[in-house]
Amino acid sequence: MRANHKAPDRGLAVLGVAAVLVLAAGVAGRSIGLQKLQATLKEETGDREELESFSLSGYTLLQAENAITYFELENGELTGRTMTETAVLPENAQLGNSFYSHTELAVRPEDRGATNQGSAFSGNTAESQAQDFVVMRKIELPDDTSLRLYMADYHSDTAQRVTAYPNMWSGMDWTLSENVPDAYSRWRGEAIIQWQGSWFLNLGGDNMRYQPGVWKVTESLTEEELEALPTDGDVRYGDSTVPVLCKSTEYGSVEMFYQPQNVESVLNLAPMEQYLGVLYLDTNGNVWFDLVDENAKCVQQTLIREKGEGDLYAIMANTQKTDQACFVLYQEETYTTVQIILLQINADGSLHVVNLPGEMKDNGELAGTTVVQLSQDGQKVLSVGLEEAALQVDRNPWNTESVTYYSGYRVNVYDLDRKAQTFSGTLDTGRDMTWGRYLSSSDFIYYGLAGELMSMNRDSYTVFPQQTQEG
Amino acid sequence: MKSVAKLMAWHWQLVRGPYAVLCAVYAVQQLILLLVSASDSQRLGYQMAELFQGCGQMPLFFVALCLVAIVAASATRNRERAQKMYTLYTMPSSRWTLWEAQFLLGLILLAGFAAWQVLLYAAAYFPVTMVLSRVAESMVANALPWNSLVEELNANPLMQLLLPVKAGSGLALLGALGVTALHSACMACCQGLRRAVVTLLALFGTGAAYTAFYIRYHQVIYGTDAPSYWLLFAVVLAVALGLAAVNVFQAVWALKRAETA
Repeated sequence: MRANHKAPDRGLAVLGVAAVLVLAAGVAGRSIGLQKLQATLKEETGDREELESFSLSGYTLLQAENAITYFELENGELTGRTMTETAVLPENAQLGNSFYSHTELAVRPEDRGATNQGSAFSGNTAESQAQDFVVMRKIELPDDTSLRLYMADYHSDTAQRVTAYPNMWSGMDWTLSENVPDAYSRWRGEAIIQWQGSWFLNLGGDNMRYQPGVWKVTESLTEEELEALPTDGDVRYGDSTVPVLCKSTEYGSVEMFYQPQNVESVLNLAPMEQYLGVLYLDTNGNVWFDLVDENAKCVQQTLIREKGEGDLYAIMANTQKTDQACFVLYQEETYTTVQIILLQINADGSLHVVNLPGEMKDNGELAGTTVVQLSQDGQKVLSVGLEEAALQVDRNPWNTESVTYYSGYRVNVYDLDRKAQTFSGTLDTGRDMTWGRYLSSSDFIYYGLAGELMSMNRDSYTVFPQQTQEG
Repeated sequence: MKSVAKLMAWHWQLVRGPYAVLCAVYAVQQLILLLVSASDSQRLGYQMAELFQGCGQMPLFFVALCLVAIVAASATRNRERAQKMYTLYTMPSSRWTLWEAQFLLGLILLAGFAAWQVLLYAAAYFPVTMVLSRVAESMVANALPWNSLVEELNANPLMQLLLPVKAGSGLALLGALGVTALHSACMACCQGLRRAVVTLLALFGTGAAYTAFYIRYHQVIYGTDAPSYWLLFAVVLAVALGLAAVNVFQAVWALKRAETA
């Protein structure tokens, strides 16, 4: 070893201490920054006290930060907290997994032989022709089960082209691929809700096997149960014959739960505490709302709207209150908002109904229909809607494009007595940080483990759960 | 313990030159890559965090971390060591002191490099954001809200790994750096062909350790409890630990035979 007595180099100790200090400062900076990600509410007009009779809550998933912020508006105060190192929203605020339904026109069982006879195979598609069809509706419930119901028959005056694709997954069968009649190609205002532990649907209509009304799902199949169903027909693909579960086969079942008087079609449904709210159109074109108890007995009936022009459909808006429901009525042809209906069950069990004209949404008195809520005294309406920001981007001298993105939410309070907007402000949930996400032209996001090394998803989603309890 | 500290200090003197060069080269490389990428109009809308990720700097950081481990181990191959006039035979303390000292030296150098990356990121934030906003100003008429340094720290996945805000991720980071330092110490204890083999295994071993570290982070973030993920994590972790065990065995063997004498 060294002979001299010079003190050993302290450089290493300095390096170690400096490294620890820098890393600690970084961790502290990150922790403070994560707390600062919380939503903020800026008032623009009106008094913040106007917000006191409402409660609002939501979660924002910040994808790049791998953090979730929770905010809660209570007594006019916005409070919140940040959950770090997670990208999983709580159970009551899950994205997606929503209700999905689509209609297919399948070949009638008795025509299957003839359709197979006329089968021609090109590329990977088998083609044939048929004139008579059964209209089948497949409904996928949010709990990952599904059912398929036979709705009606359809006869075409001319022979139509039907196709079947093999090799995609088992069960591909003959279906009408083009010229699907409008009445079957789109279904509007389909509703499914969970109430008292069961799923309820608004099925049925003119010339359908199901009467219009509220139907309760009595059986729905999981993916495994569906795969276990025996095949009951076959399709000729070129030289081979493949056994399939026919598209015309029903599975799962529903039973009529409630049929309003003179009903033409049920527009939408809403669970309201111990009652089921049913919004429907009667045969005279009037819109009614029935409150139904668990014995399918109507306890209250309210006329919502006298016959108007055009066909209507209704979307349920989030109220974040279990004793409230909100429906937005749209005109089917023009997509214009016709009416906004707010319903509240009072403490004495009676129903309080507020009808707002659709123009209020278009002229900005209501901020939107992301959340619409009635104050406890029923005198004020809180509305929350997405706020857009627009940017002009010159990609190059001859290519200018306009980009819009959602910068946050607008929150408005409307006083029903004074017929005036009494508060307006912006709720920034962190979306404003993500503007760049909508500008990039080389906006590739690589997903999965390895993809995260090369790109990141700088986006955020805000979810206002229907149930207001904190997850 | 005192002899470990002395040995560390001496070995630090031997490697601080190459270590400083590595840090400097890495800083220049990073700054050039970030600034060149920032001036690309195709990346309009990127801010510091996306740019850092999109230009591929994150994998380079892990490559550089492996180089730090090799630099730390180079102390025992340094010609100047002979001038310090000690060998395994003349060392006043046990031979294992060499391994311990190299392990701790490696850990400090690795932590220093991680801190260096954090500092570089903070330092690069200002010029990079300036270039980004220049490019954006020429293409967008509106004033754009540029995120603060802290916001860009939080959005960057590498910073999330290096600056953990939860105890679990802190331990995971320490584990990943610990495995790297361990390999570095093993390299230092071997000589000749064995050293080549140990270095190769160390590269695979640290790679597996970082992969396990990253899979675990991903699992925590996305709450993935799928058996396939656990299996992947277990296999990668087993490979990392297995390779570490093999190298430790080699280092023990080499020390017993005084190969580095």
